[in-house]
Amino acid sequence: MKNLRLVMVGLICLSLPSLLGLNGCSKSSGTQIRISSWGSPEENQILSNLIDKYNQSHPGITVVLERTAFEDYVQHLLTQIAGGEGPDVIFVEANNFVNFYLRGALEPLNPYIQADHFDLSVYYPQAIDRYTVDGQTYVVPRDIAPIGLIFYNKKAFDEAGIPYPTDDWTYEDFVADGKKLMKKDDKGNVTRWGFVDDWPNFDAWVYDFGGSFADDVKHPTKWTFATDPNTLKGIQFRADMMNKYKMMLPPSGLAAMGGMGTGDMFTNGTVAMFLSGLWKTPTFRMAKDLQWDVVMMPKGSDGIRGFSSGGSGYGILKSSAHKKEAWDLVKYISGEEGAKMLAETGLAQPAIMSVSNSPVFLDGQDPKNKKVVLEAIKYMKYNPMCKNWLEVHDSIINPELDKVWSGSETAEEAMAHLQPLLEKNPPQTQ
Amino acid sequence: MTSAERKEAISAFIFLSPFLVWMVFLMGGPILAAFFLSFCKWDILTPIQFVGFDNYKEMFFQDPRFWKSLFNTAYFTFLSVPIGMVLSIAVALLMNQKVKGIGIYRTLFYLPSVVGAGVAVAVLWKWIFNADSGLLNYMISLLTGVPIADCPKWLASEAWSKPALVIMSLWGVGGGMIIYLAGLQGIPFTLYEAAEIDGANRWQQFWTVTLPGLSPVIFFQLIISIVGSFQIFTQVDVMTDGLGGPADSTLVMVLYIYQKAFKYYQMGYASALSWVLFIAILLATWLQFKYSKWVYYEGELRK
Repeated sequence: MKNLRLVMVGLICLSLPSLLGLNGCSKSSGTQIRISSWGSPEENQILSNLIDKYNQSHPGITVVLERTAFEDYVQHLLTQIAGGEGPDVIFVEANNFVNFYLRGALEPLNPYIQADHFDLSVYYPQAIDRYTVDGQTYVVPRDIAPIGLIFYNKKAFDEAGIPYPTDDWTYEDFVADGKKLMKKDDKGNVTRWGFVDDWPNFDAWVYDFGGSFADDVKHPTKWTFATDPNTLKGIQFRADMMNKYKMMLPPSGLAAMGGMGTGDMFTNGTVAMFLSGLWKTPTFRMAKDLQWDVVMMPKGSDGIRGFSSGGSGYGILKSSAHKKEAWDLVKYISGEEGAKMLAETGLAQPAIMSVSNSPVFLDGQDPKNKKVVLEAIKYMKYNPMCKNWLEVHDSIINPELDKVWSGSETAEEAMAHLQPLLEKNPPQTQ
Repeated sequence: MTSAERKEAISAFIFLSPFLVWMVFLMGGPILAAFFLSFCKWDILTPIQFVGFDNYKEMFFQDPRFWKSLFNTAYFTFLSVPIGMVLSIAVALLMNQKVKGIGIYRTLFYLPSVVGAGVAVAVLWKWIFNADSGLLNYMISLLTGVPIADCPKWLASEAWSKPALVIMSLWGVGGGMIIYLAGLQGIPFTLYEAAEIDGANRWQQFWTVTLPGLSPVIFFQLIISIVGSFQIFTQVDVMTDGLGGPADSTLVMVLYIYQKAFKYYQMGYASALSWVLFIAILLATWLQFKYSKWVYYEGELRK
């Protein structure tokens, strides 16, 4: 018995290093670079392939990829950094970037860029601009994502007897089509909705109508959401689609089947038009019998349009002990090779312009009209950079707008209620 | 202390020891840290900044969402606990009958509690409550003839979202049932015989024998359910995508704490909220103990 116990203790001791994830260190005596990421297995495969290649061609350096679920990503990283256990390189999303930048966690990259004559001009200027504040760049972009695409079901358009939409359509065209695409059974229950967004994305309509959230994206000093007449128009338009034109799936219809997302409703034909970004491509390509394409969100008769935006890139943490090596890794993974691999999956639009303009990205597969994203870049609008953006957006603006969507308030009334609340909670940039 | 009393105290502590070890070594630190943090401002990365009573002042005097979350939590508790208790007792009484195959019935009623109140169940209820195609509105429409379009919008409606949560909480009635059932079977049969000889009918027996006999169990359940409903979180989080909507109508205390801490990174404020929740639960429990004269302990009389 005693011997058995000794054996057990020995076994546990032997397995401890691997339990604690230390086997990476013990293998090589060189430098270890840790990189944090989120994403689907397919998306991660790109990064881990790149890292494998990098490891092979860089003896003495071991890059370790650490994955976290997107929902926990920021919290997980902030906790790691606070505990002095932060990784060296982080993959970061265009809105989450602000969380790290404003807390001073990101290493300014200008010195590295200048020393290496690293050419930033191959990237979309709109992407570089998001990660550059006061002339200092903090992130090298991987992809760029204008959230201004209307995915449409071709069969639904054929059935309704209307021509497919074109990129120069207006809000009026959009509503007219949406109404015609509605389908009901003989009991009056809706079997197909004209339109729904991927998530309750009122930002998209605020920007599309030329509205705004704050006075300045980089250095916001006050909220303009409740005072900007264009914001009001965008919000009222989204509410009208539900309550007046009755062409958009209202909140009460969400999760129609056991937690089913609105994307699934587009796939199975319950919704004819769907607002999202290009990352939906692989999912919709896999859907059998779905014939689909994309167009830009409609514009105003005055030509106004604007798209809310996502995207992501790689940054280096200030706390890293191996910044030089980290920078070398960032250069490699944000380079052309990775961009091409990303383009091939159809998942995203690479931030490197030459790759996005090449047949690797414009591969002739669905969506046939993919080239619109090249133009959509022009209309991208980013969310204001402040610490309390998410709280103001989700916990002050959003609950009030719930009343607009349900029709119990007009957009104008909601704005009147919101203004004093927004004044009390100005953008926090410190 | 007599030796019997000492013996009793020692065994009590032995039984309590796993909890005490857990409390002192695992929970004590975080609880104290949260108390300290509640007087600070901290966003995880920038250094901790001492702000005195600012968090508490803001909470009580400037934060309408705090009051809203407190109201929502109280609303949920005051509705779900009594309804849940009455239903559990009623089901337990039914399940206490000597009928063939009663075991199967008991199992059926207990099954939902085995599944628990986790994420999967919340997703299921989200579907049941769906205003257009959910099971609940379908049943209502079928039974009353009201068109589905005129049925309550449940989770999408400010007025019906909290009642929806209460209805969902009744899913756990089976858990209470098991405990009441055990309590019912602990009431000595001789008491019913004596009551019958005295000429008491079934109703009188229920009021004078069953309920007093069950009162320690009721008291236990009352405390546990109130503490539990003050802490409702997972279901609301899943069913409202973490927002507590529509229009903050399902923003309960723990969800608000979670938002402040892990979405907006205001750890100090979230700690202050946690302490207020803790005090509220403590107060509720203390009040129940203070007014617990109605509880009848058979053992005490024998002494």
